[in-house]
Amino acid sequence: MIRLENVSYSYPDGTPALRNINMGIKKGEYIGIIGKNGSGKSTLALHLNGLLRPQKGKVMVRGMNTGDFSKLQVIRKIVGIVFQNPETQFVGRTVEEDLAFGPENLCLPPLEIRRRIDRALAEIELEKYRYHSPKALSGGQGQCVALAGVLAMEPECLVFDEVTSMLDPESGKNVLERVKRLHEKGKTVVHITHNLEELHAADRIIVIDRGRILLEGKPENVLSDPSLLDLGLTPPSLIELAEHLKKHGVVIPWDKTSSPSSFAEEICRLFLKT
Amino acid sequence: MPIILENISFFYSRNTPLETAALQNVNLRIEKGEFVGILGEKGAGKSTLIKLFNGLLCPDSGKVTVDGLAPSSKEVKSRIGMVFQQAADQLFCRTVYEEIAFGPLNFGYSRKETEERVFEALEAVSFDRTMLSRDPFSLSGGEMQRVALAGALALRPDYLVLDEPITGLDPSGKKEILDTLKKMKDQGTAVITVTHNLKGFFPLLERIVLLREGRISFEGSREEYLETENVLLPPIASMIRELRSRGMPVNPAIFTVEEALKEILRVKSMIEKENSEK
Amino acid sequence: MQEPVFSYIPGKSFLHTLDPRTKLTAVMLLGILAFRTESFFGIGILFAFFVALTSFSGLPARVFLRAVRPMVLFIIFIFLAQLFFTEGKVLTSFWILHPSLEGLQNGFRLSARFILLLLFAALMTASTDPSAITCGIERMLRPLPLRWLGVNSFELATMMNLSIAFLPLLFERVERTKAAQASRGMYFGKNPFHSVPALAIPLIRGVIRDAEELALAMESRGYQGTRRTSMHELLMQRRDWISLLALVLFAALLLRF
Repeated sequence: MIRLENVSYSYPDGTPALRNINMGIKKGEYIGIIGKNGSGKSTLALHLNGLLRPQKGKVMVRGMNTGDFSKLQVIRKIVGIVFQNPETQFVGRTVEEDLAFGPENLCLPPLEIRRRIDRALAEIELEKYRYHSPKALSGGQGQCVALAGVLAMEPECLVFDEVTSMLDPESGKNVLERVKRLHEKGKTVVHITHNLEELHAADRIIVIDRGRILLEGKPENVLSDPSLLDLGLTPPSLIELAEHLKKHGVVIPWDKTSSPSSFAEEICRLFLKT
Repeated sequence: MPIILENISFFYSRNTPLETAALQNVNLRIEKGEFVGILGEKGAGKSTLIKLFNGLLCPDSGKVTVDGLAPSSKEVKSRIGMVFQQAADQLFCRTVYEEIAFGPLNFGYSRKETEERVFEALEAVSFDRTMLSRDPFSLSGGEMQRVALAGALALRPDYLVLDEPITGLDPSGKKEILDTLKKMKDQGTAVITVTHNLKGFFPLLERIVLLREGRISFEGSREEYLETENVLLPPIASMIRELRSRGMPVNPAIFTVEEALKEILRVKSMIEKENSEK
Repeated sequence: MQEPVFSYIPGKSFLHTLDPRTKLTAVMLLGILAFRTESFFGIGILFAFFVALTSFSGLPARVFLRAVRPMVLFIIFIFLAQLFFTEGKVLTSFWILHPSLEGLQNGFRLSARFILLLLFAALMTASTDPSAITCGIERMLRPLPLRWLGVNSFELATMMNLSIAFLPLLFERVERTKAAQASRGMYFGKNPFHSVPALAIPLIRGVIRDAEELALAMESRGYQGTRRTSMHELLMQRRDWISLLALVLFAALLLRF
């Protein structure tokens, strides 16, 4: 659905941000992209719907080149991005107004705009805040509104750029649940983060460092890869523990490392059966 | 002498229809040299609470004293170093040196004394002296946060108060800040931090204060916190708790991956021994 | 958090249901009227008219107090200026000041006019959703050849909306920065030459960063600064035309006096 071919990009001051990136994203896939701050992962996100255009190589979204200005509006209708800071994503004074922004840009008629607002609000279950100021909401709710603002454009692919890094763990979990649900409903998801714990459910993980793809593979292989530590990325503590235990002959299967309770259950099963 | 809060209540938009209680009947005592974590959801009153310590906010009722002094006094302001989240909003000088020197100069220390303090603070956050001439805004988020921290440390505070110091930083940035805080604590500075990053802070915290809707809903050691119902725990601690609830004889005070590994292996060999004895 | 300029209070009154364009035109018309009416009787009528409209709208009085309050100093200033610097029959004299009767009248008249203007504007903003106001302005400006100025009415409307939405964020930022600096011994109010740059620099940097992030988010949601629709359907109804007609008649009558 999205293809990046030999994409390179440098910041205006000349420092390279992306070097020769090749990757593809299939429809309905859940892709995790990890890397530390400054690795180029956010720059990559901005390439996915033409907010930035590669200096070398090209980005194709459903056969359309993001360098083609006449296609940009269509591309942005297909790929929506939710950003890190909910506060600087709001353009409206009320939630309703904010959700209307995207559909208004698509020049939809007022009736259709309202229908989409209704649907997007129902999706995030925040109908009662329709006339509230988005800034008065909690961080988690705010991020949900930002998500709904993108959903109102009815994109096929959603890109999440560090959406939980400003949230407390509880609201972060809530937002992640919604991401997962949207993926189950058939949306293509690109989830960018430096918190590896969030990517347990991904189909595929790509590790980016200094503008290059360093590792790529299934979460069970990537998340336990020892080279992550060298990059300054901490693997999820349960996975780290499972790796250590494996060296001592205690093998915890991958799918049991997703939550503390399944992990504990597995340990009890292993130890008490003998 | 400690920071003492007695029966504190604080309201936003007092005497208007929008009046909301940020804190209600809060009693708290923080001793010198402690490492205290203030936890709670957004809007629980955490940030309001710490602003009472150095008089940035005054309580609507109740009394705050720092070492027996009123928090609005200049004396107290120099004993409390405060670092807020989003360092970029706090920095404004052209060089890192000026930035760190800003506090001491404000409190009237001499150039020489200030310079000494700047070097000391710089070392505390593990920067070398080439940093001093750099523009704070050319730094990464994590480095900016360390500059902000150094700015507070240059006051040689007895109490270091932080609001979400590692939010939004990547793992290596987090580690740098945590290491510095640990070092400060070991040197006898009290560290009081508002945080929701339990995974990062849990191994350091000695005491935890949990706020809910403006009231203290839990206060105690982290061992006691582990035993409390309905609280958020980092994954390792939460897994250990699960093990205990399933009847495994594990020690509850486990905070890091290494400790958990040792403990699980210990229990494993214990069970194996028992089985072989049977 | 306060919203300093606009204070929309939702409601279902007759005023609330009018098209924003009707209300914008009405405020302009009433403003002109206030400044063209010379007699105190006429000004009194306008005040009465305002009171009548307000009772229609069901809006609380504090809305209007809030609108006038920030301007009080300014109004007192123009009142005093008129009082002392208008030539005419001297009332009393002290020192070098010679308040005149004409000055007193002029002072009352001018300050009453400003107050009227503020009140009617407040009536409009309190009874109209700000985004509907900008939408109304956008529609009214659309026929004008703004392209010559390098903008179009869509951009203008979005700009207005954004500034309304962003004011509270700006205040929050100032508060944060102030708290951080006060903690490092900065004493605000003593030396403005010292404290203003200390506040302004992080503020400006912060605002620029926010603006960059916002611009990306907007562009990502398909904003191009060209034609866009609006969720507000603006429809001039019969009651809008009737209200405007009534207002014009009222204005004509008042100006005859």
